Amino acid sequence: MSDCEDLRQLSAYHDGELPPEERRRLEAHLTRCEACARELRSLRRLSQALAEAPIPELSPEALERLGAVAEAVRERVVLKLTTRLAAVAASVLVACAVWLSAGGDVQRITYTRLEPWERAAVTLSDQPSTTEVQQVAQWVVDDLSLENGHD
Amino acid sequence: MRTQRDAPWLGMTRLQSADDDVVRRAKAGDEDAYRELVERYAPGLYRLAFSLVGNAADAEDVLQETFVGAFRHLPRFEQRASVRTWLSRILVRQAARHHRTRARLRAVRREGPAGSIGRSDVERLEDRPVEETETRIDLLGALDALEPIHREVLSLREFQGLSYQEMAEVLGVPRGTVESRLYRARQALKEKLKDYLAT
Repeated sequence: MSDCEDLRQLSAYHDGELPPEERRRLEAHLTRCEACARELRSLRRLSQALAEAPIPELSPEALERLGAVAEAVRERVVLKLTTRLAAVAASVLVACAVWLSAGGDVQRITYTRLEPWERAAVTLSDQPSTTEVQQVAQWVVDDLSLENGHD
Repeated sequence: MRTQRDAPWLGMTRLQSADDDVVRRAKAGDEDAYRELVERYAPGLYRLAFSLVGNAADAEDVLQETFVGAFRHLPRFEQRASVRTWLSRILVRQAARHHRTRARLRAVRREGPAGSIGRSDVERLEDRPVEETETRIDLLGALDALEPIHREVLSLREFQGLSYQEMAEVLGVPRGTVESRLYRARQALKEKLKDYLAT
């Protein structure tokens, strides 16, 4: 092989990968350098031989097998995507349920047991009170009425 | 086989547009789009796989693993690279994985050294008609005996027709590295062929 420095660029020139200016310079050089011209012919023969290499074609059966594999993978991918979406939806629902059960922004209404006099005090009834507690409650209500000057 | 590389730029634009449409439909779960990708790219990728692993059975396995991996990761494929470049990148990695597995098995079975000509010859004898093997076996044997990084760049260039930039994307190296590797790969292959011619 020649020691010409341009030999290294011949590979890129052969592949059409040199910038225009470099390509023109090398083409001018090739008209003067037999070693480079010989190397270029050698590269072209090598590429031609590789293009004619007896690599078998992919058989129709093999292509069909690949198609079946593609279909199987597609089904798995779609199933995986669907499962993930369902899981996300379920997570959102659970999160909402947990949030709501924890109170969220809704004020909780609590009920406490009223004392007897409290119950009596808020109960409207035409019937006279019977128990002492009820009588006391009635008295408190009456005393607090407007007729006695209270607001 | 010179197809994509020699296509006019307008043809490449139409091809890329058609690829984008198929990928978009495949991402949407269109089963026809999956098959279309296989039919469109499998034959060319098979040649690349065969040149990298040296026999039909392994080439088909590598090709299958390539499509399985590609379709599994299809939702994440952003189409910044062409489909061909993307698939080639996956295939090269699968072929490298195949070689590592084969090297480990070889070590376990105490077989010959990696790239030994005798073993490659036997594998290819099983794949091709007898009358072809004697006259054509030297070239593929020489290719199989190259260093993996040289075999990769040669195969990507000569069997896939990728540009230097596309090869840089496939291999994850700078364009300048592709250029120098390809130069050394060709020199190495010519040296190997010289040895074959001498025997």
